[in-house]
Order: sequence, then structure tokens, then C-alpha cells
Amino acid sequence: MSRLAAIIALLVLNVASANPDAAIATALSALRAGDLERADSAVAEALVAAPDFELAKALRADIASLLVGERSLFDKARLMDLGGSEQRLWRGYAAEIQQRSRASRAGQQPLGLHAVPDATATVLLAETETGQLHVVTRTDNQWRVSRTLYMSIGKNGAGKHRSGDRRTPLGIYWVVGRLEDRQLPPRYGPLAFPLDYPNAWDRSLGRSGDGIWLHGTEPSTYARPPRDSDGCLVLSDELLVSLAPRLTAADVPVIVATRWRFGQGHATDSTIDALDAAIDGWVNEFSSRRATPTTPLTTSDVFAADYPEEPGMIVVRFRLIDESAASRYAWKRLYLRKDGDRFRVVATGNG
Amino acid sequence: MTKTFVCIACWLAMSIAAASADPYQSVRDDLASGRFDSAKLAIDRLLNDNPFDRDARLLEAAWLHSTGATAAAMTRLELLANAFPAEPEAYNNLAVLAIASGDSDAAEAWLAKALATSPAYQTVVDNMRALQRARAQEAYAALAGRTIEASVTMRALEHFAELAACTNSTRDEP
Repeated sequence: MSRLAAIIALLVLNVASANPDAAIATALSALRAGDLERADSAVAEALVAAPDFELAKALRADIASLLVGERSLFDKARLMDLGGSEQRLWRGYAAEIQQRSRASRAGQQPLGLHAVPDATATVLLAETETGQLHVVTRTDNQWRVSRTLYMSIGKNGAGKHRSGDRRTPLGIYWVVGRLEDRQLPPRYGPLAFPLDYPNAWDRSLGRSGDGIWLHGTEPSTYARPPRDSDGCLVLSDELLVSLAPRLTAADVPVIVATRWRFGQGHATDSTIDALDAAIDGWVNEFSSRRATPTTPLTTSDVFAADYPEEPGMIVVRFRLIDESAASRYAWKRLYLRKDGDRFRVVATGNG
Repeated sequence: MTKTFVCIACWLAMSIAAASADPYQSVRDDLASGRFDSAKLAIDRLLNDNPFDRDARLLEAAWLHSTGATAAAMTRLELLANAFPAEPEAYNNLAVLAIASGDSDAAEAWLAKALATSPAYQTVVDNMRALQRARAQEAYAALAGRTIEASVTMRALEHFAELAACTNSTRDEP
């Protein structure tokens, strides 16, 4: 039986058992409240569900210290007293606690999401500064965060520039495939979803590298430290498997930003009109350059969102339809920069 | 703060009960009721009778702290600790006063000394646990980018002092 099948079987069998991430969140909240007994019991629950959860083991050790009256291993002075490799290890746990202690964005509305095609059911929004992956779904015609998940990013942080720099790229990408357990080395976990980095905007800036995936965790550990990958976005196998049906069903945009804005609001009519005008203008120009134009080109399934780390820039992706062509349609991407009341095309791409 | 203050005074007074009963009861009652002049007269009498009376000197420290002279109380307790280095009471009391002054590092050091003399002294063990729990609470809050409100810390410290008051009279060490 493949590892994925085993995990699914385990999920079915243990449907009532604790979610390890939720149990650790409970333990951390109890520790902040000084309630060691509740923290201990939550950590025990996490370890029953995920015996290889390294942070849970570290918390169990810390609670044991506190119960006998020793100083917490996360006390700054005690951390300083630890030797080199041990100090690195516990600083890693401290960073993971920091990341896991951040509040979920569940229920909040991400701003800057101007248009999403009806066929798209999920948008993933990764914030590299907080280490949170927000699963954004449509409810009552509004896009809201339904879950916030703990994720790991590149060892050297975010802002990929070149191959091998171990940074996670910042931009808007799409899931372009699904790799199963049997196709993957163990360190990627049971599933992986390749992203289309580098996109046309990255290439226009000379950014290099490839193989940026959203994937799971190696079998020896439940979750990886906050900064631990070669640039990929990494989830625990359990979280990835629970997310997989949403990533397989339809086009999934993945926005990777250092931070994102949340709140109430939607794109103004003037922004939508200006985007429509920019798309129409580009389509007309593209059409006029065709050698033998037969039928007029049309567009559908428009996605438009603010581009991370590029103030005033919006990426638009749409289906360009040519009824007379054999292939009928192609996906196009325009990178648009605000220029007064209008948008100017600064880069174009396919896919 | 007032509650902690009174609580420590009560505790210091009660701690005397561990060692002896009646000669000190009136002093304890006076301190608990805020009759500080009367308490001072009684303490002076006890010390006149026996300048080396350890329990009278603990009561004197309690009186000093109760009247706001915490630094002087700590000096008295340090002298007492020097005079009775193998006894945990002065160290433990110094720890509680250090906590009341907001110096948890000093409190930890005093409790460590108390434990070195009597590793199984339950009051000291409980106090050390309470101290480390409060410190851990702050460490985990700091990792979450939050600070424990002063009132929350004070509640933990009040618990710490009350714990001492409740258990200091019961020395479990054989």
C-alpha cells in the first residue's frame, strides 16, 4: 500500500483523534496562560496523533522541566547557556513556536483579489513573513480565508533570484501538476504540486531556477522548521493530504507574498473597467498582428490580483479563445502597471 | 500590590508557627491585624531576651517588610541566612521578597540556595515551580509577540506568595 493510501486509511480510522497542529496550538495557548496541566495533556494528544512531531517532543521536555521546578528551555537566559548545536535546535523550536502562535486569518477577506474565474474554487495565499498558508475559498460570492496552515519555506527566506539560492519566490503562480508518492523521493512526502515558477515577470527580471513545489514532509518528522526547504512551500503530510482535493479539482492560483492585506472591500468599478480596457486593448493589438485573422478573439475565465512586492502592478490571467483555431483557446497572462487612470502592459506570458 | 504586601506579611508571620507556637502568636496576630507598634514592642522583648532567637528575627523581618522597609527586611534575612546557612527559611523568605520586588532572577537564586539546604522542603519546591511556571508563561508569551499584562504577572506572584503562606508552616522534610 502506498504511503498516501496508508495516511488516508489512518485519517479514516482516526477520524475522531486530535489534529496535531490544533493540539499544539492549544498547548501553546495553555503555556501562555501558565496552565501546565492542560498544556501537557494537549501535547500528549499531539504525540498520539503524530509521534514524530519534533516540536511536540520539545514541549513535552520543557513541561517536564517546569513541573520539577527547572527553568523553561525557551527562557532567553537558558537558551544562551546551551551549546552550539543544541542552541540551534532549540532556537529552531522557538522560531516554530513563534510561527505557530500567530493568529489564524480564518474568516478574513484578502484584499487585492480583483477577479477569480467561476471554475476556480480555491486560491492559496502564502505569507512568507508569518509562515502561514491561507486557504481562500468562495462563500456567498466573497473570497475569505477558510483555514490558515503552518508552512515551511526556503532556508534563506523569501525573494528567489537565482537557482540554488534556497529562497522561496515571491509572485503569483499556478499549480501545474500533481506528483504521487511513487513518483517522489521520500523527502517530498506523499504528494507534491509543482508551481510554474519562473513566470514571465520573473524571467523579465532575470530570475532563474525551477522546481518550486508545494509538497509534504519526509517520513521521519511530522513538520519541518519554519525555514528549512530549498525554496519550496512545505506542509505536513496530514495538512497536504487534507488540502489535496482542492488542488486537483481546478486551476489553483498560489499567491506568495511577504505579507498580504486583509479587510473589507472589493475592487472598484473603475479598476475593473480599467483592467477590462487593458485586456481588450491587448487582444485587439494581438489580433491585428495575426497573419490571417478569421473570427474575432474573445476572452473568458479572467483572474486578476495585485502582484506581490510590486506596488501598482496587477497580474491578469485569462483564456484567449479563437473559435477558428484547432486548439480553440490558450491561457494568457498580462502583467499590468498602473499608469494614471489606465493600465500599461509591462510583460506578457502564457499558461 | 496591597494584597501581596499583606499576604507576605501574613506568610512571614505564619512561617514562625513552623518553628514554635505561642510566644510568637501575639506578634503574628498584631502583624496580621496591622498593629505594627504593638508587634514591634513584642519583637523587641523577644530579642532582648534572646538576641539569637531565629524566629524573632524572622518576625522582625516581617515587621520591617510590613511597614514598607523591604530593603531592610532583606538585609535582616541575609544576616539570618549567614547565621543559619544550612536552614532554608531565610533563603525562601528572601526569594518571596525578591519576587515582591519584581526580581525573579534573585528569587530563583535564593530558592536554589534553599533547595541546596533542603531538596525535599515542599514549600521551596512549590515556590520554585510557581516561579518557573510564571517565567515560562512570560517566555511563551514573548515568543508569540505578546507581553503578559502586569496584572497577570502580579496574579501569578500573588499566587506564589499565597502558596508560601499556605504551605510554609508545613515542612515535609524529615
